[in-house]
Amino acid sequence: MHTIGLTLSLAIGLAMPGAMAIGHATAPAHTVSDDEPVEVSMEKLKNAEYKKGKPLEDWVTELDGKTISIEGYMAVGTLEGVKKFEFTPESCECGRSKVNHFIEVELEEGVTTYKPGRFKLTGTFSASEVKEDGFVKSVYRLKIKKLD
Amino acid sequence: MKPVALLLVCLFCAAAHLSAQQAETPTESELDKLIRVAKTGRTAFRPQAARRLVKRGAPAAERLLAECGETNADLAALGNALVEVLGEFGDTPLRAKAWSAIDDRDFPWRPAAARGLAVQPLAEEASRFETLTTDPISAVRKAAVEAVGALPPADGHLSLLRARLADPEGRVRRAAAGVLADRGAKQALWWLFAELGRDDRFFDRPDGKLARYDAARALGKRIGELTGYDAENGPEGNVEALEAIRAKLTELAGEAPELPPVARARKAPIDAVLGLELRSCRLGEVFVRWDRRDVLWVGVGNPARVELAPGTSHALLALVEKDLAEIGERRFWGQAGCDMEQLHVRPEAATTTLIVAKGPEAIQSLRPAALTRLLGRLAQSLPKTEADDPRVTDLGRRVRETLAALGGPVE
Repeated sequence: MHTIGLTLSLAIGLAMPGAMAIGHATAPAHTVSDDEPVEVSMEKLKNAEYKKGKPLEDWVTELDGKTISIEGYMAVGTLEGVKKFEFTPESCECGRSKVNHFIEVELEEGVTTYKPGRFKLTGTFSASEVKEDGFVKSVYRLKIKKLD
Repeated sequence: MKPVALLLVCLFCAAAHLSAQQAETPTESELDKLIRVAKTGRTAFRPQAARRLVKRGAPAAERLLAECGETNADLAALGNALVEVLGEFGDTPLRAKAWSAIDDRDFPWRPAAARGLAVQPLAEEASRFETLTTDPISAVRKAAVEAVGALPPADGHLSLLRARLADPEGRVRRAAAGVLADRGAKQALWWLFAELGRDDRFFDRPDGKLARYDAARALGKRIGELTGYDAENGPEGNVEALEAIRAKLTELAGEAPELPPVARARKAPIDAVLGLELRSCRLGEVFVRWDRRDVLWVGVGNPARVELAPGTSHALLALVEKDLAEIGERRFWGQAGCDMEQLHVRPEAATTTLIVAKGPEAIQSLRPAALTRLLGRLAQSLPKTEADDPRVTDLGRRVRETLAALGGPVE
């Protein structure tokens, strides 16, 4: 009975994708605005206090939904031809990807091509834990128009 | 049939179908799932899964030991995240596996193994950690310094830790300063103070700012709030705060001692036109820059200075630009991994970076011929004379060996 009940829930979840989001922190949807971007330091963001499940620092949450500019590095290992990549404080994180040490960048147009060196991105920032399969997938996200 | 009844029938059919599928597919145990995710999951998930395994205790330790295999090659296949937690279960066989990884200079995840073992070091491991404080890889040295700091005080520890105050890598110096201060050698706090005034860069990377954040955290933990200090700003933006901290430190630790050159904050920026940034998971790191005035700078932070023959940088830059034209637009070769060589070229304001990267396994013909020729030229230009500064000693040989370990030999 329990199994059928669970399976029915799964079936409903498959039919209604929104239902699967229950119990997960979901990223707020933002569109890129024409606001003057707020300059944000990647090093400051990396050093902002983060503990899983705890509120983020006030200055970080105040940036949520704002247009920001930030400098960093495209993570080595970024796949080519995809819509998302990790933006990091250093070019070599050397296999240690702490979830609050990168920004998950999403491209509205185009796909990724690997870009070495430090560069600046401007887009709409969001900050909150997004989970997938019980793991924190990202804390910081940035939606940008496209890669220059 | 009414629509509601039809919907219920459909849902029941879907449920029955899914139940049948579940019956055919063996369920993955929680431990198996955590090991799978820690090994091959999304990069950000791996440390989270590994950490959850540690919380599962003995059953997870037993399962992980079975996964370790017989050889270090089997162990390396676990990946960085799982190797990092081997030492954290309080399990003797898993700890032995981690030590086996560290003792193997060819093992790709030695820093991870060292970090895990350093969390709760055992007294009987003291001499092994002491040896690791001079390891070629800075991340291993840092973990070893922290481990020594967590062990009961012993003869020789203070001198060994003091030696690391002159480490070429700032992270190691900061770790040593923190441990020494915690053991009562408060003068070591002046090393953290020096880092608060750093504003150096390695090309575009703000090493000084990264060091300031780290040092501010370490110092604040030991002397209380650094009122008015903002790690976001260089020394010019923190004049009053730095003076206040200096006064507080003088009261607590006495007058500032003379720091070794490597630990001093460099004031003047370096106008580099060419640079090599080599990071080998087996041989360690080498940082070299050629500036516009024919000076070679070795290391990061406050690097060692070596005069080159007049015209060296200009001649090298001209050759490099010719090679770059042959290389074309491509800027990355290989795949993400712990081994990386980066060539930085900055004839004017903008920096061009070329990266060759790989994981633990060697890749044949990874680097294009023109880039190999170019790197060979840079390696040949390095001074062969003896030097007092350990960062410069044997520099040419170290650069050639590290390049060979990364993208292949350059000569």
